[in-house]
Amino acid sequence: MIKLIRKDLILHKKFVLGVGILYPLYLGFMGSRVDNLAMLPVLGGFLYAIVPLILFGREDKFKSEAFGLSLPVTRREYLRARFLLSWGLMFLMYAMGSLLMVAVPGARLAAATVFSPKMILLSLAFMAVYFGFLMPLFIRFGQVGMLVFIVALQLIGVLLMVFRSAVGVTTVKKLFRLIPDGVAAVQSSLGAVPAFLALLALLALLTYASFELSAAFLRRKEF
Amino acid sequence: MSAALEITGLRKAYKGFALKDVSFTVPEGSIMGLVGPNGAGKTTIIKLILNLVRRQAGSVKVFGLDNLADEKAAKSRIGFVHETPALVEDVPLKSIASAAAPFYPKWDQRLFLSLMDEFGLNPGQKFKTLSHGMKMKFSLALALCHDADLLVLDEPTSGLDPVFRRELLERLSGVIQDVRKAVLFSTHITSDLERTADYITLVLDGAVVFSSPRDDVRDGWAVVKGGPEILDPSRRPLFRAVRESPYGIEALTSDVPSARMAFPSAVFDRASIEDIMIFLNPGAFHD
Repeated sequence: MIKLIRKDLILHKKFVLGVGILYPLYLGFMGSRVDNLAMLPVLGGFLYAIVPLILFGREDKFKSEAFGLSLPVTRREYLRARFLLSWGLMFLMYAMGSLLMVAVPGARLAAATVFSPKMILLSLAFMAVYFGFLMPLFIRFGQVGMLVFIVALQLIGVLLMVFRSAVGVTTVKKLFRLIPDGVAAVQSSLGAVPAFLALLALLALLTYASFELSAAFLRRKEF
Repeated sequence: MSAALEITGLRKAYKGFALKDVSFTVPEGSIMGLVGPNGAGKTTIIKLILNLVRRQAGSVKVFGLDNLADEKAAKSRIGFVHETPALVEDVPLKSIASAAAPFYPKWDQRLFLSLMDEFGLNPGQKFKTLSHGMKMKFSLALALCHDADLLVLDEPTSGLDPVFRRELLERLSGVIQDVRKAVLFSTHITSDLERTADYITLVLDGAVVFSSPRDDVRDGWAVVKGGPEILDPSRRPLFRAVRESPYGIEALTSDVPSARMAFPSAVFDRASIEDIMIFLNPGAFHD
């Protein structure tokens, strides 16, 4: 598995160094202007989760996956390495971005808030959710799968606008408040050790389910 | 002689095409040429060996190892060249080699560099700057430098100039000087097979027509040239295919002794692989 991760790092060195450094710099700076605590894990999680998929999208673009899979590895090992590499990248970028977010002059959020265990866990939770959904789609449909996901999000946005004009602004605002309220509720309940462990277990389960679904798609994929 | 590669009852169906119970064996110490026209199923067979596509039935054994159950061990003994080499394009060749090397315990860096030099490739060059022929040469260098026991090459001579093609074929002959090794290569350039292959497997429309030693093919098939008597329906079973030309009637037989007895006055020419391929290719001729 280490060999597979090493292979990806060698073959995508420029991308990893370029995007892996510039992107957290950009996100760190943008994050320093944010004062809505709830948006940090919700939006940040998504922005970090798509980076590994863009990296693997390069293999899709060059149609070079057949080379990787012709090496002496099984498809499960291949996928396991991709999950590990993705989590490594996401975590590193998240750490860099968060550090910058509080280090940039004029940062609106305090280091103690950004690096609180609750916030870290919530950020990881959202990353796990986004990545967990996107990876199987990516394995099944390639880069098109990611585009489908983004187009689907936009369609949901359009539907929400239609919905808003039908039911009125107040109802929609109430619905939207559910997200930060929900996040705040989870944050406050995480103080309790059982809730904290339950969320961790849920994340592990989600990642495992995402891996198994991706593995099933990869097993069927032909190159 | 034990088998380097044993394919039994392999099936794979696509819309409009199917591999039908493909079976053949590549003995150790031999070169097997897999021949057939475009779309016959050669690449699908090779991809099935590498588990790049999913088989629907049958088995593939590499030195006795099932290519699915023992995938890792089986693949570690294979050197593979893809029909259209596709690698990450914007990295230097030396980086691609450095990414692949750790997977093969017997990787020989010195041999790799010497092959690069011999093939006129610059290790610092990016993959995207190579022509198809040069990409093929690079893939060959990767496949040759880890002392693979079985070389599986899909159309390795396509896009290569005649001089390098000849050198490559000689190199393949050199590989099997070690009698534990074997080579399977697909091609539609039949002269490559006649020059190098010990065994020939002809695939047409997803089915194996024959898989035999080259000499058996040479001696066992003939083109019979004669008059209208060849068209006699009672003798039609002697022929695999018949065609009429402005100069007479030609038929392909794989039963030369019986055909000679039936048509003593006809002319018998040894059938080349190309003759067999052209006669048997569906749609090439009408009986």
